[in-house]
Amino acid sequence: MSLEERLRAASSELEKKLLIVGELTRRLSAEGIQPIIVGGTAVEIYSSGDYQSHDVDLVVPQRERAVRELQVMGFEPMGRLFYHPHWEVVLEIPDVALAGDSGRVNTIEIDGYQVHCIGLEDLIIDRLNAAVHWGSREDRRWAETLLRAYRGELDMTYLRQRAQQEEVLTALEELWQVVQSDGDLPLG
Amino acid sequence: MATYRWDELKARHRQVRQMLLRSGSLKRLPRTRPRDPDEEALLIQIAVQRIRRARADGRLTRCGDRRWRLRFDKSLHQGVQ
Repeated sequence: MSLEERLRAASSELEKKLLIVGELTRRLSAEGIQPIIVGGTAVEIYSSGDYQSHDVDLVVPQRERAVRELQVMGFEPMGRLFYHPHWEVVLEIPDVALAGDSGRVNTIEIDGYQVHCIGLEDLIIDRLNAAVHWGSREDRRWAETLLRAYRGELDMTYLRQRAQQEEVLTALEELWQVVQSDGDLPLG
Repeated sequence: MATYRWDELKARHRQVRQMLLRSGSLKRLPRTRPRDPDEEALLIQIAVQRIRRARADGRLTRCGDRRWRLRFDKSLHQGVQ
């Protein structure tokens, strides 16, 4: 099935966005270039689509090469954004360096494609940064959601170390205490 | 009362969305009005339950130390285009 057919059959915006990033990843993989999904779309992945983000933020070390490939795929530059008028998807490459450990990047398989996504711990730190430094309650809520949903699987030593570096350790400990004290939420 | 056709509303919504996407206006904006604490707790609870359900249903699977698989249930949705 062609990418166009896959996109037409996509069941959600998240699937559509991941198929497109998967195609970009495939095109760049021969050159050893690995786009990494960060930001809201990463939250969408780990929340299985519960969070909704309108654009896709990518970290790509070789930004210029990725931009050329995006244009080959039909994306049009619009300031710092890249818009695909037919697919109605917006991509941005806000950074060339990952804010976190590249060794903790996860590979996500989706319908024959692979995409790479920032690790859970680094994503939680990203949300905590927005919560603490921008005063964003929504990001605090998502940090808590991810802590709750994945609490048995997180590397708390690394999370605390990163939180200390980013000066969000107090916020992390507060949330962690809440999450630990509540026990398991009842499943609906 | 005005009557609208669903197709017309969808087309109009799509036009507005295209315009907002092009202008970058759909980037995340900080919410200025805080949510009610009960609402916030409920939203967290719902999101956690949905993640757990997705993992229990096999829609979100950890299949290795750094490998995950996402499966989209086509039967629940129609195409997005």
